[in-house]
Parts: sequence; C-alpha cells; structure tokens
Amino acid sequence: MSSTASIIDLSVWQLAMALVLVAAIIVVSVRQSLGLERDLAIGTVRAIVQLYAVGLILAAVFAAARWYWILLILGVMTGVATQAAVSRLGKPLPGAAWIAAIALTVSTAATLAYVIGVVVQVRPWYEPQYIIPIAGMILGNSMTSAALAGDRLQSDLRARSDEIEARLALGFSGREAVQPMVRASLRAAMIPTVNGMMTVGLVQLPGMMTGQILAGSSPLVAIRYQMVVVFMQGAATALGSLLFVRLAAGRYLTPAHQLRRYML
Amino acid sequence: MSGSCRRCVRKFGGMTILHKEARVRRDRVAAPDYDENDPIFEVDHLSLDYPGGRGHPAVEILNDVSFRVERGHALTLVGPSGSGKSSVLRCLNRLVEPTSGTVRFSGHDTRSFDPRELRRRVALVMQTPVMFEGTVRDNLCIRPLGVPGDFSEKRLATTLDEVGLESKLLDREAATLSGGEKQRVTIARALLRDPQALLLDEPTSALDPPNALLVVETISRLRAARTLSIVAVTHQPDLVRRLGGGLLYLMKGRVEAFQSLDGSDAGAALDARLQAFLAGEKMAGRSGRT
Repeated sequence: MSSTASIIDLSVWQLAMALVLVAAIIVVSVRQSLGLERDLAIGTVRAIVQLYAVGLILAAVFAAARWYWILLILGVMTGVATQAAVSRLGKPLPGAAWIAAIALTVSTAATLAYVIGVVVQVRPWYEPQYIIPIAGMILGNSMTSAALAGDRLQSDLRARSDEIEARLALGFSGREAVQPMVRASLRAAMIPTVNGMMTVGLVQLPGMMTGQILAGSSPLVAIRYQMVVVFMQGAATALGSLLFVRLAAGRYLTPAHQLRRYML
Repeated sequence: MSGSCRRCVRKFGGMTILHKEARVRRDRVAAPDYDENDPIFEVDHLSLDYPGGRGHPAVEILNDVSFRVERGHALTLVGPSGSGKSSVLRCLNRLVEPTSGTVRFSGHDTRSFDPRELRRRVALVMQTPVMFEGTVRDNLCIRPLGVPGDFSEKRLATTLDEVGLESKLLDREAATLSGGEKQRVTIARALLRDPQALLLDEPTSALDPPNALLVVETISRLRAARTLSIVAVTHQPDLVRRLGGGLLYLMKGRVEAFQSLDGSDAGAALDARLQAFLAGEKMAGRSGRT
C-alpha cells in the first residue's frame, strides 16, 4: 500500500545545501566565542565519512543477505557499544569490558530474538532490512543504560562505602550489603526510558516512526512499529542495566563478603 | 588484573569452600564452642598489602603485627594517622583479608568461620555512626533474614538504657539524632547481637567533647558490666585509662611498643611515646581510615 515512488532521492547538490546548516552552527560558535569550530569541522567530516561507509557496507550486506554477514555486523556493533559503555565509567574497573560485553550481548540477543522471532515474525530471521535497525536500537538503549547504571553504581559504592561495611559488620552478605546501591543505579538507568514512554509521540516523533513515515508508510503502520520499539527498548534497558550492575557489583565484593575498598 | 589480585582470587576460591561448609552448619556454629582459656584474639605475623593500581607496586598497610587479647580484657591501638590501626580492627572481623599471617578468634582461625557469623560475634562500631533509613527501632532491629535473636520491645528498651538512651527514642527518625546519640545507637545495635568482642574504631573522634565524654562513659560502663572483650582505636587518653588492658603503639603498619596498663606491669616504666599519649599530648595528626 505504501508507494515508494513518493520518496525524494537526495542528490549530492541537495546534500551540499544541507551543509549550509553547519555554517549556521559555526557562525554561532564564532560570534559567541564557544571555541567549537574545530570540533564542529571534525564532527561534520566524521559524520559524512562514517555514514557513507556504513551506507556502503549495509548496501553490500543487504544485497548479499547472508546470515554470517549479519552476525558479523551485529558482533561489530556489540563491540563498539561495549567499548563506549566502558569508557563512560568514572574509574576503570578490571574486567569491565567483559562484563559490558556479556550484559549487552545477552540483553540484546534475548530482546532481539523475541522481537524478530515472536513479535514481528521476520522470515528468514536474518532479513537485514529488519534485524539491523532493530538490533541497533536495542543495543543503543542497552549501552546507554548500562553505562548510566555502571557510573551511578561506582559513585554510590564510593560515597556509601561506610554504609556497606556497616551492613557487612552486622552480618549481612556482600550481595545484601550492596543491594540498596544496586537498586539506586537500576532506577537511575531506567527512569529516562520510563519517562520517555510517558511523552512518546507528544513532544517529538520518534526516529524510527519518522523514518517510516518519510519512507511512505502509513502513520498507522508506523505507530504499531513504534510501540514495539518502545516496549523492546524498555526490556533491553532493564535487562542490560540489571546484568551490568549485578556483575559489576560482584567485582567489588569477595566471596568472604568483603568490600574491595581499594578498587573504589 | 594485576598479579597480586589474581593471587587473592585463588586464595578466596579456597575460602569459598570453607564458607559454604560454614553456611550449612550455621545453626550449630552459633553455639559457643570455645575453651574459656583461649585468648579472644590471637594475631600472628599479620601483614596486609593492598594491590596497587595498574603498574603500581602493592601498598603495604600492615607488616608482621602480632598480639593477643585475653578474654574479657581490652586492648587499645594508638599511633599516628595512616599507621594501620583501623586495618587491624578490620582484620579481626575479617572485613579485610590479611595478605599473610593468621588471626585466631577464640582459638579458631577466623577463616574457619562463615564471615557473617564471625561478624555477629565480633561487633564493630565505626568512627562515623552509620544510620540506615527509618526509625531508631528499625536501626536496632536490622538484620539479615532468618538470623535469630531477641529483638523484643523489652530487650530494645533495656539495651538503649544500657547505652544511656531513653526508650522513647525508639520511634524517632534515626537521621534526626545528634552525633552522640547516633553513636550510642550503633553501640546498642552491636550489643543486641550479643557479641563476644567489641571493636571500636575511634568511636568518639567524630563527636564534640560533651558527646564524646558520654560515649566514653557508656563504653567504660559496658566494659565493667558485661566483661566484654574490647579492641579499640582511640585518641582519647581518658578512654584508654578507663578501658585498661593493653596499649599497642603502631607506626607505619608495625608494632612499635606495647604496654600493659593493669596487673603487675602497670607501674613499670612506660614507653616515652605512650607516656606522652596518656598525659594527653596529641599524637602526630588525627587518624584517618587506614
């Protein structure tokens, strides 16, 4: 029912016109002495190069449509997301990369399998048109929430180490002693997602819905997909941050229910 | 992971087994299984290092510390800031793991206890009183699920009375108490677990002089009434004199001097540093947590 004929293909000339918008940012930066010109220039070039490269790769993968190419792409995406999540921790944590990799892989794989296999019922499962954008959205959410939760956990453990040791000294297990901090970090990580659900569609149209509408889908089809996206992002956030925080909190404890203060 | 850290993991791996066995026997372990003649604490060649960061050497906290505390007696640890006093206390209830050496509690290596059980028998009162969310009653009754104990209204009131607080405080929000009241609530919280030993980590240093005095009086009274074994870190000569027992001077993680304050040794010539300390001279700097 959608007519792809209505999509306006952008010419190089039209893209160049869009660059005029960057000029507007540079003017603001110069006039207000923000000192952002250099970063803006680099950012603009990177945006062009990265998106172009991704476009070329995706075009090739879409054309080939082989499951192993898809898995490879998903692997690379997870690797980059892991790196990004770990780099946002306030203080390096030994083994953080593994913890993030496990949390992101498990949360993304579980959510993705359910959405692709049960909800949308894509056949074959590795149909790139579906799996790549959906995996990207799930991974992005897991990554942000895991990083948020991890950072909050670290600062809470540091700030409340006396409280943790007081609980340990009263005979609580390590896991019980850090439970209040684990809970606070999970809340901090999930609140943005829950708040986002409250205003979705009212303040701005979500990216995926916008894309579908621009591509000619009926808004009524687009909102159905958007609902799936909202729920799956919620699940990915919860699962990703829970796994990350639980595993990370465990790194600060010993089997003898001791807090590794020197790591904080 | 640094080399020293890997070593800890292996060591802890071994302890996990002990700790699982201990968990199975938890109820049976709860019965006192000590010989009255065993010292409450026996510390032999205790050393503690913290692993340094990436590429940094380990930091030495304690080096070859040995001492013993007889049942019902007291020991006070003194020394300048960073000398390892708090770390000694934390080794006694196994909040930190010694790098080498042994700590025996009532004749048994502390590693043979479930650490949670050990910490219920060896209670710790920290420098800054930690109050959890809720009322004084919530703070007194806080305990892991399934841990037995008498937390009846009567017992709570008696214990508060023991630390010089009125039972009408039970329903007060713990956060609204004064510093001295909070510290006495943490002492009551420790006593409610019927510990055999009490570890005091500068219990008065975060308090103003009148409150500090109240806490000193509470502790000395308890010591006399309960014949508790006490190991204390303090800068209060007054508390040291009232606790009696032994005085251990630590410096850079090593034992520099030991002095008995009661019995036949009491009159013997005091080490000059300890004499100065007891006379009320300030130690070099206030102690931070080490």
